[in-house]
Amino acid sequence: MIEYVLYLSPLLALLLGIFCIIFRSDTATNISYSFKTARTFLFISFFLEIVFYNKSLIANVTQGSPFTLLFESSLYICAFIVLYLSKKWFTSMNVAGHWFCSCILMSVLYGCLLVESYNLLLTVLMCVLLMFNNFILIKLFQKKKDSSLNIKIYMIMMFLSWLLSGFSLIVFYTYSGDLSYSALMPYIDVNQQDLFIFSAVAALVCVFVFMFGLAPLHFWFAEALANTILPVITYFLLVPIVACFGCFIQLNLHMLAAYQDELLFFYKIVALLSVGIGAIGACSAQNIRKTFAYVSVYHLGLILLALFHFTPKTVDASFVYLFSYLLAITGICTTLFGLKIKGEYLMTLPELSGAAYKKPYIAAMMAVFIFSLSGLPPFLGFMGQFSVLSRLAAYRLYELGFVLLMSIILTFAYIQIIYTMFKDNKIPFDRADKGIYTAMLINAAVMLFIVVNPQYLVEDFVLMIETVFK
Amino acid sequence: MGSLLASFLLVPLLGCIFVLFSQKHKNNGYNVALFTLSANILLILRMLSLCETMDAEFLYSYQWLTHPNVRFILGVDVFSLVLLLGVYISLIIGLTGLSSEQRRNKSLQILTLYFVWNMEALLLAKDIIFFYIFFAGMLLPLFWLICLHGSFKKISSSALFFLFNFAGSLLLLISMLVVYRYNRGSVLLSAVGILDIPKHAQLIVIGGICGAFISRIPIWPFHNWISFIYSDIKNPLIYIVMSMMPLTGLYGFIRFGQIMLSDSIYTFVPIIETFCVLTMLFIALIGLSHRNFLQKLFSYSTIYYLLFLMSKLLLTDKYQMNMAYSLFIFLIVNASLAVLDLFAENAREESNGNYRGILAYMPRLANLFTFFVLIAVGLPISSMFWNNFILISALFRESFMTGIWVMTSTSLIGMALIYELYIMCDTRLSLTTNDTVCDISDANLAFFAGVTIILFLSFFNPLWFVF
Amino acid sequence: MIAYTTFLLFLTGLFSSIKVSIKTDKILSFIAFAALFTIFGNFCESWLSGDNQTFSFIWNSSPSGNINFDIISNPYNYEIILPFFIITLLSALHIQIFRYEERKSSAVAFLAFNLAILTAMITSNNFVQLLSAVFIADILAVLIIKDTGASKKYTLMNMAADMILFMVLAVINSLVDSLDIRQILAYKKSGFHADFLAIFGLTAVFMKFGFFIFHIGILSLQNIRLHRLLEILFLSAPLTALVLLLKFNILWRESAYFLPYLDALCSLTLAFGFFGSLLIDCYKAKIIYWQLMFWALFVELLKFNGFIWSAWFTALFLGMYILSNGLYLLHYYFNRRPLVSQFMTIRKENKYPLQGAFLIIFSAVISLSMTLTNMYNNVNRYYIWTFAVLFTLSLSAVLYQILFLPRRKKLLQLSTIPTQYLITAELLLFATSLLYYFHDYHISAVGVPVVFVLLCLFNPLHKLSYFYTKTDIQNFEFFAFLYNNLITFLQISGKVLWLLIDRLFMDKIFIRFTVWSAKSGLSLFRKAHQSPLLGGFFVLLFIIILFMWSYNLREQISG
Repeated sequence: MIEYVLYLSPLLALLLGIFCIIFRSDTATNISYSFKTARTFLFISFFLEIVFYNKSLIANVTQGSPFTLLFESSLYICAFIVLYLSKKWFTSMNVAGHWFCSCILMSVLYGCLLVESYNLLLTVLMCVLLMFNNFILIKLFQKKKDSSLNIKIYMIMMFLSWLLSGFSLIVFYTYSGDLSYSALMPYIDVNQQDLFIFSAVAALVCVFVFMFGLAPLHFWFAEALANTILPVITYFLLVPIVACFGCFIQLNLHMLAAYQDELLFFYKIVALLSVGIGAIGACSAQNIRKTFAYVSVYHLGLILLALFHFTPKTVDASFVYLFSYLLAITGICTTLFGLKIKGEYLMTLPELSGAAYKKPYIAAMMAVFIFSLSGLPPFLGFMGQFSVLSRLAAYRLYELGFVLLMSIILTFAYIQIIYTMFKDNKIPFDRADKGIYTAMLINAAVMLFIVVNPQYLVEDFVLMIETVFK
Repeated sequence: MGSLLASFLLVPLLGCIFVLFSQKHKNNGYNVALFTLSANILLILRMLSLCETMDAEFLYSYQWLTHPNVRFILGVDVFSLVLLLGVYISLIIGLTGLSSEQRRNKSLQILTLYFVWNMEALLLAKDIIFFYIFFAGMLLPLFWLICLHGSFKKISSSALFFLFNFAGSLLLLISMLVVYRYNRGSVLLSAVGILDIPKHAQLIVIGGICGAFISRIPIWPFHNWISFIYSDIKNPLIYIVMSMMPLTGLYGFIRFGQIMLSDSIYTFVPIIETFCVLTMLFIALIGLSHRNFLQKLFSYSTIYYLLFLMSKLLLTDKYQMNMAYSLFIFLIVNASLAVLDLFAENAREESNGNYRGILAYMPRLANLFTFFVLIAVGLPISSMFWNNFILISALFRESFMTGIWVMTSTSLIGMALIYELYIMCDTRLSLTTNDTVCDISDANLAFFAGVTIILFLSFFNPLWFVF
Repeated sequence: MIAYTTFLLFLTGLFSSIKVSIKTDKILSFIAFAALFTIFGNFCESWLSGDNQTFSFIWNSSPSGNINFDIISNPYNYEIILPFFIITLLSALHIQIFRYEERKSSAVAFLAFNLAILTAMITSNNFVQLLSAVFIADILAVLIIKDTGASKKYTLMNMAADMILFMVLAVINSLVDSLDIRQILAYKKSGFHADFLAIFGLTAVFMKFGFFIFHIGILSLQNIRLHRLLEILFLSAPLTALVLLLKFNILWRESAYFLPYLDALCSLTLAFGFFGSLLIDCYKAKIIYWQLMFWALFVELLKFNGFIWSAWFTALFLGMYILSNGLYLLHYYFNRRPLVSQFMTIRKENKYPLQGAFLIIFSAVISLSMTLTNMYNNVNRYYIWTFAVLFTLSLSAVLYQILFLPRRKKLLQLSTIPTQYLITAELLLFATSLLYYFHDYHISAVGVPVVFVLLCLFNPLHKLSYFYTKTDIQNFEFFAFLYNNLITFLQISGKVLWLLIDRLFMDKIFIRFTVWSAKSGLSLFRKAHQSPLLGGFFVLLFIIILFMWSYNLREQISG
């Protein structure tokens, strides 16, 4: 019994954290408390997760490995960053943050289970819950009151995804009876010709495409993020992506391997579409948040493209890319938290005007992170770009050409942002919190450290990644 | 030598950090930048003195990654050292030309030092991955320099400039990736052209490399963006930094020398040659039509870069040192003329005088100006004269018609410079200038006199400063 | 040893370049002059002692061989250098005597450097050394002229000539793959681009001489001080052209166009000089026109002599210089008035200098006629006769105009010529011109001076002074107009190209089209995303199609 409790302790810590936060959510002064509690329990959970990373309660339902530990650690760190930065927003706007903190902890919980999941039922369940959790965040923290259409779209898409995942679950359960990956894989292998099985697989993949916000299901992602608050955007750009990515690799390697050729074709189309739409969308957007939502679509498309054949090398490459993306996008979000005009965080691109003169350090750091995202050397983004594009260069030169073309278009969007910062603007920016500067510096230091010593990322982390193939 | 190389590479970075923490609104940052550049010049001289022969090469490597085996290989030879010396002296000249307000600007010094770091790493990089890193990496300081210290009109063009160069560097990335596909790990620049790879891949590699380097050199029809950036630059340092961009492309062609040996290159060379010649003539005519010395100087530098490019494409490696000596002088002269022109321009603005005949009131500046223009034109006051003679002779040997057009272009632009000098010196053309024009200071005069000595002595021995 | 002379000349130049006060400057310039004189003595001594040594050191190396610095001492080189040295000395003496040079020492320094450079050029065996010397001589010329406005066209013309020369030598070097001038014999055998080399090489030479068609530059010097003009005419670009002709004629003669081109330009220049000297009022311009006539004759005589220098050329050259000095003194005498029509009456006290000047001119004419008589032969007789007739007619007509000019008013101011200096100079020059008489006396040479004197007294051509008042003729600058238009045409071409390609094609068409396409694409993208519900429908459709496609693909694989 104690053993079970111990193995479940990371999740229990998170649940306890949520419990504590919700039961002390009466006054505005609790902002600090909510975030502090959330961070404390997140830290405890992280610690316990590291200690019991390879222990699972039921063997065929969850499985821990260095691979899962890596993704879970990333998840925890991302959630911690979101909480750290969001506190600035909530304090500044004097808005109670208990629901937000609870949702973040909840999503970490779902995310951890999703990454560890070795059973389709758990996977689908966690997906459904995570989607619902995201929905709550979008619903609660919409910036504009007239954005009900976006919520409706998300809701429709969410229900559709639930239906698809339910359909997939039913089909597999009806046909196979056992929903663990290990049981489903040989079954799918044998019944490849079956249209229902194929449909169930496609439905499952569609759910993930929706959760990643990849094209053509990107509508909800860009529109929802455009009208929500900065902490929620930061969350969406970091946390669900890590969780879904870990799960997606597991799913493809341990369950859908038989459909590799068909799925790869599907992934390729989705990835190329995402890359194209992400790049063009980023250029077209006037809303900074929407721009970064599209940027995310582009990068996730590229990661999917790099996952080709799901070999150890491609998975390694995509992880390196994901890591560099996460660091850069975290940096950008941090800088966005540091830019305020009369107490309001920036929404549109023209509001950035004059940032280079009024907030030179933040603007400079923002440019550094943006250039890192664009893959310009010597920033970390280059390593990610190099690892992914070298995969593409190996066999698929046309795709490489397309990606590079799109990267030029995307760079145009980046340049637009930087160029706006150099425009003249007389409106002063508010004083930025020192914590923002600290976060920026830490982020930059981590990037610098990895650039100088890339073996930690390219060799040590990769060793952990490759355990998923064993 | 390895430690010397490593410290050489670290000095500008240290300089950046020192400038970053220097006091605001004081000249400390400027002094640090000046000291940093001077320190590295001393290191270059030391390294040159260690090179016993012209072919001597020193290597230093740093294991960056073990899987794949990527080593950061630095290499230095007399050729790259001469170019580096030219770059450093040019930048010191640029720093000298800064106004007191510009000297107090920390960002200008930091970005310049960062650019220098990229530039020197590029000139030292021996493997393709690191070459690409610094080739693309130098876009950032340039972009920022233009954005921060150019007018707003420039910012929009700098966006185009960045995109264009970024696209160019992506071509090099494609080449690098294809090379990486066939040879995991570091591949030496000199080995890129002779790799055992399939024909189509070789074509991609060579096409990418040529495209990337050409994107840096203002060849028609892509010269427009750079000429727009050049126009009306009021900061000599930025002008000089900008004018080094084509050097990176040219250097790339020189360092990837072995690609010239592969069969695939024959597809590209005549095309590049034709475009070079057309651009040279076109730019020479434009230079003749411009009524501004800086514009003419831009045309001049473009034509000379193209001359060097054609020398590289058409000639063998035995002319490499002639090119290096010529480039060394060219870089310094180009920088000096830019700074001197801005001195004249400032004097004109201060005195509310006329551009025409301004030098008649500034005898010191006029003498210096004349000296540098004569060197630029190719008169025998520096080693550029006889090295250009050797290069152009060799070009004639390879292609008579190319030689003719090259000579026509260089002559036209030389005449244009001299013509403009006469306009600036002619007292009869000075209509409204009052007599209160301030000539350049004693310190500046002494500095430029030093530069003239360096150049003049090079006529007798290009490496006279190496003991 | 010529190398020793060159080195000493260079040192003298350096010494004389020292900036000192005005008073010390005179002493310094005199010391420099004395040094030049001593060097000349040393030079003559070496020559007479049969010096035949070669000074050579490897200056630099190049892929085309070593760049040597050679100073070859042989009697032939001594012979060529001699007249240049004498003229340099006389010019330095002029600077000592007359006060129209603010910084005498620096003027002497330029002369010393110039002679050193000419020596290096004459004795060179290397393309780089030769070209360097030619270019440096041009730079020194600009320094000697010391007039920005006046030297513009001259500099540009010389610059163009230098560039052409640079190209010609580069072509030669490209084919022989050696920097050694002696290798042109090897090139001669191959004969590649012979016509190109001859035409362009000669063009460069003609530009440096300032021959007809290319005379704009040299004529633009008519506004500089006369003694500087003489230094340019006798010691600068034309001399470099002469040396080039002496060195490269062997190669250029391979072309069939060489001799016709040479003859045509020389003849045209002769005619042009004749008419110019008669019709143009400016005195210095007349001197330039006579000089052009002289160079045309000189080049033709060289051609008839197989482009080999001889003592007669030295005599001819010095004779012309003496003549020019006589004309120079006249100019001074007439208070440096720029136009012949402005030359005023003569004060009684100063009539000796005028007589002295005429005496010098007369002696120079005698020496020239004697030299030409000695060079006269069946081959060149027509040319010599033509020159003699045209030159005598022109010179005598102008002298007639000066001597018998209608007196309009008296000079209020005394002429500024220092009489005692002038007489000393005249005596010296006269003594020099007398040397010719002892060289090789020829009775037939008497005729020309006699005719010259007679023509000076009775010359119908003096009536051409009528044209001095015609501003149309005085300002007639057809070739200047042509060159200006050529430059304007080039500038306009540049502007048009810039407008067409940069502005119209790149800016207005290419970039605008790109921006328009990008904007259209983005607007399309925005429109597509404006209605998410409709978008959602299409998305579903897309996914179904993709699904079907994937399924078909699977079937194909399994099938």
